[in-house]
Amino acid sequence: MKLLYLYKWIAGSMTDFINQFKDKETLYQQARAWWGQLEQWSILIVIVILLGVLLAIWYYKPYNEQPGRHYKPKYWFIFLGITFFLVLITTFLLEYIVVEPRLPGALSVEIRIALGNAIYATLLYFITSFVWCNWLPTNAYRLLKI
Amino acid sequence: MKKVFVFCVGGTGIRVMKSITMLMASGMSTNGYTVIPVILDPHLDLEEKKNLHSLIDNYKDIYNKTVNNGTSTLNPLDGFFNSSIVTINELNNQQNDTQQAVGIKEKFRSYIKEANLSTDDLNNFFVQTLFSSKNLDSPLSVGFKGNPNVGTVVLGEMIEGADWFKAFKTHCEKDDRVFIISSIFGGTGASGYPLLEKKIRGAENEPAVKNTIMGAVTVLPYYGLKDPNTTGSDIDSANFYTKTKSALAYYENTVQSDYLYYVGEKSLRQVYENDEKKQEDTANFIELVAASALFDFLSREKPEKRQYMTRAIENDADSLDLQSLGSGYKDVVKCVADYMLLRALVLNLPNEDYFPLSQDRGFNDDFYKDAAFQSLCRFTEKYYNWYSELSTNKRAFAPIHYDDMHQMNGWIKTMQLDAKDDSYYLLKMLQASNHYEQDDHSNSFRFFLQFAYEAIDFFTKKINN
Repeated sequence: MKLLYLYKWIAGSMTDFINQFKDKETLYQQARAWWGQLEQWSILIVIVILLGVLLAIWYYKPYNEQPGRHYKPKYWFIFLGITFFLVLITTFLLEYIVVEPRLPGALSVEIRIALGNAIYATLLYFITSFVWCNWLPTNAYRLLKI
Repeated sequence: MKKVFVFCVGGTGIRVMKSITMLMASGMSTNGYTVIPVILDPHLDLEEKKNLHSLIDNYKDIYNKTVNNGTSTLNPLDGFFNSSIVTINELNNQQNDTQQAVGIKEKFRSYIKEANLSTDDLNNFFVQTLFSSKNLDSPLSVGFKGNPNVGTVVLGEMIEGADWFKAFKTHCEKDDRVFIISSIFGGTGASGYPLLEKKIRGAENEPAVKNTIMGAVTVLPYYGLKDPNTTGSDIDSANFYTKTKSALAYYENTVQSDYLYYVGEKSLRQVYENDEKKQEDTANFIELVAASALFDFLSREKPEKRQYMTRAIENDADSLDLQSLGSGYKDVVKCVADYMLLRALVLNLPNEDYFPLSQDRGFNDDFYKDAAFQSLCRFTEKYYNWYSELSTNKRAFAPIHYDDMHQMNGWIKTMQLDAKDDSYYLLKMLQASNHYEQDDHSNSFRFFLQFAYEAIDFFTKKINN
């Protein structure tokens, strides 16, 4: 399963990436291998997105079981920001560790995948919040209640 | 409905009833008894009396709003406003307020029809012996000015012919109780208490009245009045102890209460203006102690023989806190601390943006503008003034700090609470709300007081440990 397809809209496809090296066979093969390696670890990259759900759960349950007026929307937005940047950084570090971006343009791809992941996580944070606000018990203000 | 008829005799009776109302609002339990206050003061147009009527109306309004569930009536709450107050007029289905009308406009001389006695009539000499010219010329509309000899004559007739006394005799049933509050050093209270007791125990045709469990609190001198030579008043507080001693000597063999509580001070610590027309005396710790006697009385069974009760404080301090009051006052301190915390919530919540219960329970702008919450605000303001008076009087009852919402773990002096600021209480309110089903009832105001009490009690229950 090619999970990196999920990031095509922001990072481009494997073809887009390797085609920039089509005149240099060695680099072309290295780029192909690099992408393949990234694809191998893509499941981990996708799992990182779930941080969005985890952070939303943390916000609506344990965090709002603590005093300090945590129910105020500003904390929801802070958690949203944390989700974005945490996923961005975690994804990038993960990518960097598992497949070092030594090829030209590889770093840009990893950054864009991390950015896409952060956006997906934020979206998940938003969806989880929507579900929680409408159907689940919480001490937080139900900002997304319809 | 078990009832306790609380007869509040004279100015002290009125002030003690005020403290009773405040304690009831703060969560002190009457053990299932409905309180029927009967205010017995001949003093017409006394501001304190009007204020008490208004306070009781305010209390009743809040209580009724907590038990009202549209077409049905809910059980009383636990905690704040947990006991019902019903006036004797309501009990009697009477619209006109006979309580307000207790009072006489004429002078004592005219009241006893002294003019009808000829100068050589033996009764005339008798009157001249018992009453001074000042007594005889005294207008009864301002009370008996510390003269129990006048009070005994007037109150005796006033009780027997009064609508409220007939209503009391009609509605007093088996298992109901009577509690009489009076001072012993003035005129109205000192004469009213034994008279009233005699009328109750002498009600041969009403066995439920005659045999009712009766308690009384008699307040010994606890404040002085400014020198009558400078104020022109007829009351001299220098005589308070002499009057007390003679009244106590009389009580020794005549009182018929099952429980008699004596409450007093070691000295006349506070000196008030000597103006019997106004009697603008601020709330005093002794009145609070006297008020606590009612709750103690309601928790006790009928004794084998008459019980004389009193209570002390731990340390003779000018300003009393939990430690100097002693462990016997924990319940009173908790009640006052609880209501002052409720006040903090009542003041802050209308301005609290995004409080989740605005969505879940309808605690929104409309709720805070509604008659029920506004009534609570008015009561809370009166409560605050009452506590402020108590905490600055001599001796001061000041066991709490209530002015810093960011350092609330020191709310109780000499004790640390776990709640560091008001957000702890707001969180507990939210958690309390989660325990209740939405369809338990539809009374948002009741939910507000329920959640607030649960939140506050969670932190302050350690006072009782």
